[in-house]
Amino acid sequence: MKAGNRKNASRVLKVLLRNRLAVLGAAIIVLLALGAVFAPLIAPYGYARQRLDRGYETPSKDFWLGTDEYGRDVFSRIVYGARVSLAIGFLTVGIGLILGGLIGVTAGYYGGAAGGILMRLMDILLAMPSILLAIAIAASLGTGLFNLMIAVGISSIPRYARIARGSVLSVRGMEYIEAARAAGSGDLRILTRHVIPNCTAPLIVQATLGVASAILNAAALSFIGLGIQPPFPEWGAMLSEGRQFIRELPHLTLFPGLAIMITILGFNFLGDGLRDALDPRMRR
Amino acid sequence: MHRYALRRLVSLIPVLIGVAFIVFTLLYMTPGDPARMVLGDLATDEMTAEFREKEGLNDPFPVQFGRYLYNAARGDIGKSYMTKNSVFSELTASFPDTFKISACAILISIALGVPFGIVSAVKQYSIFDSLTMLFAMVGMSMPVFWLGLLLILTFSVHLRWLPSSGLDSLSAMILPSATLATQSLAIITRMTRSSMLEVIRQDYIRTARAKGQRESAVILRHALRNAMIPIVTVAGVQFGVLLGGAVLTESIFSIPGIGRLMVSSIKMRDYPVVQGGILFIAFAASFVNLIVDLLYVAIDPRIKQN
Repeated sequence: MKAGNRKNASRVLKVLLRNRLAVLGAAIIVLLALGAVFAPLIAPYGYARQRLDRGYETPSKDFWLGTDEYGRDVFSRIVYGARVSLAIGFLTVGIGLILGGLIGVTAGYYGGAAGGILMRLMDILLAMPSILLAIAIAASLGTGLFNLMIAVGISSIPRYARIARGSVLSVRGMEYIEAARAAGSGDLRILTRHVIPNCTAPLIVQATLGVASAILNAAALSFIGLGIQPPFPEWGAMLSEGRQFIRELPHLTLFPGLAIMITILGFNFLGDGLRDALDPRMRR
Repeated sequence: MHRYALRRLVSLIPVLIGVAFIVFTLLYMTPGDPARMVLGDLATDEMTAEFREKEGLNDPFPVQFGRYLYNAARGDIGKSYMTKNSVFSELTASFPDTFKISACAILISIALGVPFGIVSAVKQYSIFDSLTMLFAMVGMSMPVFWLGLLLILTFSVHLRWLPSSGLDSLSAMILPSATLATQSLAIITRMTRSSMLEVIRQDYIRTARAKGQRESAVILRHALRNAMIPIVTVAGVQFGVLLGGAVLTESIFSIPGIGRLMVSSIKMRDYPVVQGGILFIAFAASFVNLIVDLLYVAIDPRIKQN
């Protein structure tokens, strides 16, 4: 089983490496992650450092991407913003994946009334566009990084639950599950050793694409004032602050938006490549 | 068919009650005293106490929720804290604008996305295909609010071709609809392409070609019709997403629709309006999905037999 897994993983990696866009996506993500980790070394200034005498400046040698109304360096804020966005992306996907996965696996494996109720609950959550659900949760919890992550994370739970349930249902009836049960394995062992390892592929794809939509939703919430509050350098919030100067200082909206788009593009490229590599039907 | 439609309509009720429960609970838990928000900081404690008693805010949660549901069933989903108007009338007054740009956006997405997807699939791996897919990916990755601002900057500020706010004229509708459409256009294009790719490898397509049918007839009559189900599903889901996306688009283009109403209500903590807005959009989105389900039968008669 283990040797088979390793062989399978190396095949997936091989297919992935042949996909140029997926490699580009992975490269973007690695660069962003490095930028986020080494932000204090890369950014020329602190993200909150104000120089009121140098406000409203367009890009120059001193300030590569210009400055905002408080004279804060836009480039430095974007570099530090990568920390916030990546943290939001990964942590919210963690919340959605763990809770949604648990709900989906429980509903798919055990079924019954409890499973039915859980999935109906997911249907109810899915009836609301995820951005609206996130808005409702964020409005109730209040603003701030932590609440933003919870709001976006919870709103993504139903998607993971659905995918997990679907995969478990397709695996549950397999002969090797029956064989494991006949050999005396308990539910927990069957779930952790056989069911869950065989359900991970679609969840990995969804999680990768989910990081993209989490960053996008979080930026949207910050943009309408429900997310991270100033002076924290979140890209959506930066866009929102720069919006009032769009005519005179378009760089204040241009660069944070570009940062969001490139990040999302990276995760979407990688997620697409992963789907092609993991989905046997796409093998050519 | 009628019975199926009715059954699906009835099945919407528990979903909507669930949505109402979740939204009601979330806003019930929100810190802050609604009485204080309505009456303002100058109100005395006696005044707020009287307001709480009169509005039933001292009742236990199940009683309050029960009353909300009972009233909602009669079309009364509360009063705005700010304007004191009925939430329902505020929502119905702003819905036409939201519907206008959402409908325009979904029409643009389908009218462009389906043909682009078909050509991409038919000419798989061509330059056209690669470019379309690249544009689709960029469209999917673009934050709606950023795209809106860029379009305003280009077409309103620099070129002065189109207005940047309102919905008074046809030209004013172009930018908001295009902004809102971009993401669903990308998704529908990709879905059409992958759905078509799956279908054109089937045996019956080879048969149709072997019979000597024209290629356009093979693609449009045989392939597209069979590829339509996933495309229609995605288009239906996208309409719901668009209604949600209108929240951002409307605030960028200053369109007085439900989205902007909700954003301003969130800022002023006018929760009955937020609650009602979410319920309203969830209802509209579920209703569109119901219509999509009924469309399946029209597209694929096999579903009716099952």
